[in-house]
Amino acid sequence: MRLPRILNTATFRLSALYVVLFAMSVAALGVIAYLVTAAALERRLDARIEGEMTRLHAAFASGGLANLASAVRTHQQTLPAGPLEYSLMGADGRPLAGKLPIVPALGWSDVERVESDGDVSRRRIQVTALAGGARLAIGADREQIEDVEQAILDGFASAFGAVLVLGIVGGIALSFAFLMRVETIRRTAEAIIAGDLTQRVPVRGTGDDLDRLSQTLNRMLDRISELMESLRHISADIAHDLKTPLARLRQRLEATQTHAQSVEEHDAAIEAAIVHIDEILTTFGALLRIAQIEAGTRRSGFRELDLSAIFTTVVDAFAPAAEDAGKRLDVKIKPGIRVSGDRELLTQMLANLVDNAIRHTPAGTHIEVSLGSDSERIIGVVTDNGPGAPPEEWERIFQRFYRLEHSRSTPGSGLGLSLVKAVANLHGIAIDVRDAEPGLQIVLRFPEGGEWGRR
Amino acid sequence: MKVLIVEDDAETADYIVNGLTEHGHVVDHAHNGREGLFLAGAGAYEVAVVDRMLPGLDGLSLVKALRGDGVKTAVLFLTNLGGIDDRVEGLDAGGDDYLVKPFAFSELLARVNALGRRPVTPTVDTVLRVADLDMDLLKRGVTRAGKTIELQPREFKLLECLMRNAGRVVTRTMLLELVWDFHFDPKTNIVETHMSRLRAKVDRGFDCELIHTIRGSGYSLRAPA
Repeated sequence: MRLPRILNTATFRLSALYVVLFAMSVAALGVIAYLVTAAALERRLDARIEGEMTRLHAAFASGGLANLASAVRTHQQTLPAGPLEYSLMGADGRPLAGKLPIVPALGWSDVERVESDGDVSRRRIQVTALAGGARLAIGADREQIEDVEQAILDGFASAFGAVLVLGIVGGIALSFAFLMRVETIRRTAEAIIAGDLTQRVPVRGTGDDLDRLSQTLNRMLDRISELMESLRHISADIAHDLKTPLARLRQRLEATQTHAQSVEEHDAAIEAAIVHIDEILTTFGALLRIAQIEAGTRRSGFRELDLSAIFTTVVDAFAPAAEDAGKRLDVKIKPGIRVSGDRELLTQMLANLVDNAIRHTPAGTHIEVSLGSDSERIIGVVTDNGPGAPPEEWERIFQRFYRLEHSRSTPGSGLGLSLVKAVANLHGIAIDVRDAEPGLQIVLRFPEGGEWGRR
Repeated sequence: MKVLIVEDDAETADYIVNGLTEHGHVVDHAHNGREGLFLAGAGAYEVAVVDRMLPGLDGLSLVKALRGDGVKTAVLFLTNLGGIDDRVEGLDAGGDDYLVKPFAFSELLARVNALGRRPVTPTVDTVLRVADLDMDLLKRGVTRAGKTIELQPREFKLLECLMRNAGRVVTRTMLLELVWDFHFDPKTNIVETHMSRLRAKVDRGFDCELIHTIRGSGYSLRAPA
């Protein structure tokens, strides 16, 4: 990863801003500490010089110049390496006592002097006049003050440097870590754009915000790949299942063209072709209808409706046909169950289920349709004791154009249960397929709280 | 009967115009919505067959505008395959019936005839009578030649539909819609089985049959000539 990219990350910019602010506050703290300490040290130095001056003046007052000179010498000796230096000069300018090498004018002064060893020394000196023309000078070396001041400056400068270095390094490290994870997500996205829909963003398991984002992205990708897979299946199925009857139709028409002799034969062929085309159009219609239901726009048309009445109407409609086909259709419908939904679609859903149970079972089959509710859920069941379906086929019976082996001889498009599934999904109805031993049981579990009255 | 066709596809329009003319209707054809609106507003048509998808002014807006102007002409919408919201939208806009393209001509003809017979202001019939068959809509009773016929509620509804359209063809899909409110075509022969039961009750044991099967299109109830 190139450095400029890191410098361009939000994390780095934020940390850089913090580093600058922090370094500036360290600098301000250093300046304040320096100024305050320096002022305090200066005041202490002046106070020491003044205190010494007062004591020596007292010695002069009590014993004259000689007494002062001996006091100076004594002080000088008691503090041989001390910070204070003295100089006592007579009225004639001759030094009487003390080692202070220079004596400036009366009052306070700061003096710089190049020592014999080449070092530069700086002194704070007070010179006072004594009665009789003599002068007394007391000086203090500023070296100690300067050492302290220098130490403060050095300390804060190091801290400032450390803040800058640590901040920038930390910022780069943070940005790098962040950028690495974002880069991972980006690379995954690129791989998916390039066509590999199986790619997923790695999740670290820490549960932080990037992890949660990655999980959401992965779920979205799962959904997209599901949809794409089903779309791919559907287009392939449609192409195949519509091509077959069209090809058959073409063969028949061609055969008619070649072999038909009479007008009657032509008429019969045309009539058969129209029936054939109608079947194909019905399949098209069913496919479009399923697609529209799956698009979910129909949900806006949901109304409160009497589900029991729908069940009753459908069962009433199919009962004579079932009877004529030698089957028994029993009902157990709890009246007055109301749900929110689309009347037309729910009617067709149930009709398709009953239709299937009637058409794909042998004579003598017993079919039962029931609708009931307990305190939590509304449950609709369509059961038959026909040949049923092997459990491994249960999921697939809802796929478009899927037909069970024993149903292939009966007419039908293989779209009836796909529409059932689409309507169920739209209404949030869970469909369970069960073995009725023998036979097939389809259980419709309506969503909780779906019953209108309980909302 | 004066019928207006509003349809932009020339082939479909010719097919409808020729078919209806052959069956004795006077047919005008508008090629787009604006022309349709103009013709429908000016001429006194009994039925208008309106395509939903039209250039310029679409079918829904056309019918809304007509109803807004107080035109009472019965409207049959032609909708495209699979448009599941079309029926409700069409009826909301003021349409009276709908038919999904492609359709059998017999289906269109039956529906146009049924719409044309509909009175402009609905009258409340209490008794329907065809030949010696009587239906009392208030008492929900049916008699033929004075003999009471017991009918299930759906059979009663089925017979009512046939009697209201006496002498005309009622198609399978019309019956599915009118009797059961089914707007799809079940594979099972629902209409046929109910009809055979109804026939057993209405026609069996009487001199002549009133309910006739019209091959390839539907059923018709009519008095013997």
